[in-house]
Amino acid sequence: MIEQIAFGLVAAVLIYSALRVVSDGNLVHTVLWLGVLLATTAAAYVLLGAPFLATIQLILYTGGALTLMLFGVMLTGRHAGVTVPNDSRPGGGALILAAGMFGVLAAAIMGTKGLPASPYVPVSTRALGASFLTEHLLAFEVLSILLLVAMVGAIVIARKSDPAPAAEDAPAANAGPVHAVAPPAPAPTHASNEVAS
Amino acid sequence: MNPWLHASLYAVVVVTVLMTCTAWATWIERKFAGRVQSRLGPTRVGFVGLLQPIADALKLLQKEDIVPAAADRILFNLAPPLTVALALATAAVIPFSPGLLASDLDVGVLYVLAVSGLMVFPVWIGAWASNNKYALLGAMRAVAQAISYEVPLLLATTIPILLADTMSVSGIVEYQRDHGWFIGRPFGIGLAAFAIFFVASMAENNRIPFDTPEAESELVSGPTTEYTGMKFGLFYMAEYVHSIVVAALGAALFFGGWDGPGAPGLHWMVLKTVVLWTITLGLRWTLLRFRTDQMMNLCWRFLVPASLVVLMAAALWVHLVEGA
Amino acid sequence: MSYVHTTLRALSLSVRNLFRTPTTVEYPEVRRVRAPRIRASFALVHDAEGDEACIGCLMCERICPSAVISIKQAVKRESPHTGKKRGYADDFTLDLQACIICELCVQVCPEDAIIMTREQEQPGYEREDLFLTMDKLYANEKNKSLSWGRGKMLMAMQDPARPLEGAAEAAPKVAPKAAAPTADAPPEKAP
Repeated sequence: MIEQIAFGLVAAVLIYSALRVVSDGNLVHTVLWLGVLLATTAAAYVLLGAPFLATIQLILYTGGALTLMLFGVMLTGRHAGVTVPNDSRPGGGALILAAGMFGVLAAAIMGTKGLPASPYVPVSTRALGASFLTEHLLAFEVLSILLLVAMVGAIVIARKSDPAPAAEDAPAANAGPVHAVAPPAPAPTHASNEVAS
Repeated sequence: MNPWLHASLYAVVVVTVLMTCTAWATWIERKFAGRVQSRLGPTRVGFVGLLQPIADALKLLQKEDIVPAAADRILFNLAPPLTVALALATAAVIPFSPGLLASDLDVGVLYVLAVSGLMVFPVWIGAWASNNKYALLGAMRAVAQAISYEVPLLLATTIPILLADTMSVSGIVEYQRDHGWFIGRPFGIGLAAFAIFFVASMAENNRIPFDTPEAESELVSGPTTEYTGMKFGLFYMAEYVHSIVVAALGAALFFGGWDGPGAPGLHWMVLKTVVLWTITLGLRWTLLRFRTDQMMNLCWRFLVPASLVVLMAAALWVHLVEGA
Repeated sequence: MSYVHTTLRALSLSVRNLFRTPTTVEYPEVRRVRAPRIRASFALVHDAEGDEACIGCLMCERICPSAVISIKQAVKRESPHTGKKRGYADDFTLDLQACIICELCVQVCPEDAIIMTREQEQPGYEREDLFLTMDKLYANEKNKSLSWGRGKMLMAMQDPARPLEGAAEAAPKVAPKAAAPTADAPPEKAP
């Protein structure tokens, strides 16, 4: 009985915050409603008997992904003051599409055989860790390498490119940086000549 | 007893005791700071200034509550209580004595780290909602510091988990009661892990020397610039509550929590928490503030590799020595 | 590793300081000894015959760099003590808020009428309380300890041509250690 009420509350908050995410007029509010959504998802995981997943959800999504999104919205949006206007709100077509998706997913879930009787199926963290390292080892390792690739790629993209000295690189291959470096060199001497005379 | 009633009762007790301790922790801090600086602390309000926290609370309550005109009112008002709520929520899994535990979560340690990692959000929200460039800058630095130091903090707290084979805090304390405290037992590993935990938690908590976000603009208090009166008091309280809870967590994870001969468990736990908290206090009133780049340097180029090495050493220990 | 070493040294200094007696002087229960010539507030004095020493010559009003003194000169009248006609000041006001405590008014006074006192305390809740009126200035003669420096003597000390006649009697009447003792702190180390 308590579980029903708890689930009802969690579901209500989830749906409301999801609706606010797509329809709020202020982008920062949108992202913060997303934070509420992710935190409530963690609560849903607790109700499903996966406390480990719930805490990981809090750390990674609410703590990590949300930070990224907040920074993104704040640093790249055009805004005056605290309101970042949200230009993309759902229109009629989006609503129809969403309703269609919902119908398809609901039909698929209802039609699946072999689902457990109650939603609460606790899985111990030990069993989870063991399965990562035995049954699903390949997927685990591939995901780790994927994350590593993503990190390295981000660092490479974000790093400023060094202006390489002309002697080291072949001029044909690195025409860009060399050209960027070469023209400014004569200009200061010109300027200083003019100033001196 | 009905688990809901049990949980609510513990919630009320823990929150009340923790808030009272925090209020008088400010007294201890001011007296300690005074003595370290060759002066007396508060002396006027009550005997040796013991009523000073009450005077401070009254002072903050009667101040004018200013919300900037162009600020986002809802978020501005939401941020301080949210910070305090998150700080108090972390205290739910700390075992203060064998029977005194609000909630014996199986993933207790991870829960504390998750919730304290969330604490940086209301600070950011408050700074954004203030509509103040300098507050926002302070908040960016606070967020960068917090998320950077979460990495060595998580890695360092994984070591007691690894050694005790359980993520629940009371489980770790019981393991230490049976096998010896982690500060001494796997020789060097526990000590190194504690050192990393200590430094990283000071940085998470924005304590001096990791004070950059708060005093970055020197006298304009960083993310909480636009906050007055009790809202600022709530941010201040949240910082103190967090520092006490982190000291208690360190005592539980590395120093055996309520384990100790003779006296009842609660006394030992309080003693260990107070000792750890006083060490952070001593460091606070001794060291200078780090520059942002020095702080980032310390985290990414020293603490993260060190914590990885210690984690590997702990894993090797568990595998080879204990045959797990 | 030198960071750890220096941090530990700094911490040991803090801990040592923790157990030393603090240097705070708990004012106003404990007051520091003030130097004999400290300049804090003002007093108007009476001369040897018991008459008001101030003759209303306006020298102090003219020399004050901050123009804090206002004097209303009286018509010359007979003194009740000596019977001779002499000048008086009807009203004498000194604004302590703007005073820069330079002691020039004391130095130029030909009658040693105005003198500085060694205690400042004249607290009040309103600005008007910090205006030293004539009655307050004459009251200060009795209720505050007067400084050592008097007009004629100060001028004589600066000008070799003048006789140092008043110097002997005007030697420090206040012994430096006479006031309430402080907690083991030397008086010159002001925080």
